[in-house]
Amino acid sequence: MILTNLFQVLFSGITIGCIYALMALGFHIVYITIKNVNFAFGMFVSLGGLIGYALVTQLQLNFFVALLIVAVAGGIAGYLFERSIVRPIFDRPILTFIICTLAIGEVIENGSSLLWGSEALPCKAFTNNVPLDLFGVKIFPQNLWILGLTLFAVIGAKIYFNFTLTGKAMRATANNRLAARLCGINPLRVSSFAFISSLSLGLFAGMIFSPITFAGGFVGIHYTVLGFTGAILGGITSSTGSILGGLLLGIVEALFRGFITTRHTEAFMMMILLLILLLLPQGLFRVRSEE
Amino acid sequence: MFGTIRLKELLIYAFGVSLFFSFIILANIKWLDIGIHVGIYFIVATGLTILLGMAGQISIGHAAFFGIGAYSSGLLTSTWDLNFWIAGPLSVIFAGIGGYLVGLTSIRLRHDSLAMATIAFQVIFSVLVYEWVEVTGGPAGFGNIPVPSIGTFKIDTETKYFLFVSIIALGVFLFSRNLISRRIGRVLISIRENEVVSSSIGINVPKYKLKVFTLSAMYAGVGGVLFAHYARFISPTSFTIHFSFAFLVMVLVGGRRHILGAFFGSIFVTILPEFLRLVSSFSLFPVSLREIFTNYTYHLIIYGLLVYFSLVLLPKGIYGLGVSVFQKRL
Repeated sequence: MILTNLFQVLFSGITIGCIYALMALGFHIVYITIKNVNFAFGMFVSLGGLIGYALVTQLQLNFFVALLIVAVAGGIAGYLFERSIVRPIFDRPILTFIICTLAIGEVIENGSSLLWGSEALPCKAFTNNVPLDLFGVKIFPQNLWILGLTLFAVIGAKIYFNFTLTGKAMRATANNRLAARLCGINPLRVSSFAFISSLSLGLFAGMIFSPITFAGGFVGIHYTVLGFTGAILGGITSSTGSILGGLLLGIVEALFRGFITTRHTEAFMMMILLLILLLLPQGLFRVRSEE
Repeated sequence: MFGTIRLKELLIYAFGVSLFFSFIILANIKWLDIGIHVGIYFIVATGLTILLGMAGQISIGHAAFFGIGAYSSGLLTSTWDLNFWIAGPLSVIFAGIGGYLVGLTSIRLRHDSLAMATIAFQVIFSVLVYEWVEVTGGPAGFGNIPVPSIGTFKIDTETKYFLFVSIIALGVFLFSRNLISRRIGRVLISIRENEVVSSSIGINVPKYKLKVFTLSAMYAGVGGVLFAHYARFISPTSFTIHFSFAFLVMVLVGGRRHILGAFFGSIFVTILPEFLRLVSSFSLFPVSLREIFTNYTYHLIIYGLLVYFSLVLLPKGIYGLGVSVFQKRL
């Protein structure tokens, strides 16, 4: 009985962890290329859920068409965000960057609350959501969709970074900015691509997660903090580390929810963030700088 | 206390004093209410200016310190029946302890991580206030906070409270001005510019970071105490992360390199909604546009855009703009 319970908790932990992993990957991509954290990221994740809600529940589109549209919309949002918001403050102090992205995050969140209201909206599951029974462990199809789509996105991101020219250029810039520049890689273009891929992942994550939580409802800053926590836990400089950190964070959250209490989860996660920042600031999987 | 005062400064002070008294005489209750809020926010924003503009440390959790001051003073005076003059300073010390704890994280963390840590502190505070219903009243908040009194003299009308807040704000202003022009101010600026160099010339960087975080939180605590005894009813919605953001807006839009920036910033943030409401009453504009000017969500959007554009176009804020205009004229 306890074992079944444990598996049930671990399974839901991995599901939540998948979302944290995608968000952590989004933070990682921006961090390695421009050495900054995008504080508006969580608001974009929540926007992804809302756009998904609009397409699926309001416009009755097919889920996979909607998912594709959301991912493309994320790319466009990333391009516009980088071009109009990030580029004017590209070489300003980090403090300016933090506050500017936070301010734009507020604008996005309040703007979306004008369109969809400030209450969190319930979203339909992708397919018929009758739980399967596997040795007493209840498995919801939506969780399987999340696992599969996360795996798909992560593999896609890995292929993009390892085998395409722009992906290689981004990794080169991450390794050594000056040397990459000497090889003719334009750092502004790289930052543009970083935001496109990061926000595309973010909106995608927001949409596939929305049937489990709700869409919208002023949770952007929490998503920002949780995604950042996942990235820091694994080591924000390493892509595999960020993904594993996000998964681990999800499992920790599920264990807390499953075995201690379902209340105060938010405060517990913040404690985890503070502990990680103070005791393990480099993360579990640190990448040695190759300079 | 005042050092050497030149004639020009004297004129500016005289102008300020006459403006102040004409405000008291002319203002109605609504404007006194705005004045009290400006005073309270000015105190908090001054603390944040010292932290952010002088020492270069970020905090997105100042509403939590503000809330610690407000909640502890409110609880001590209403539930424990303590005197305001004991409960107030105690609450300020509690806020300082909170600042010290956050300051401990600032020793090891910088920039992004520090911002995240202060957000975490803010969220923990909000959850605590919401969930600890027996003490804080939960989401409903609690009321019956007594007005402060000196002996039998009760500070119960808006005019009296405005004077009370103004005196404290003036004290805070003079204290901070002197603090900044002394050695500690220069130490904080050197920490802002370069921590490694500062420690190489013998500055104990962790010690000063702790000091400045504690001090800044105590300023926020003073603001919180004044807020609690003015509103006489507090609920968690006044201490959310949006307020932390609003304090940042005050400092950055006003000008983060000078304390007067905090003054202009707090006036700006407090008056903007009133101004927008006033604009919306003009029948000149179409109805849809008028709706924009009265909706709080639109206000938040306008704040966000203002912060962004003021940081991009006016990094020195309103105060910096005023100074540069003034210097060009003369």
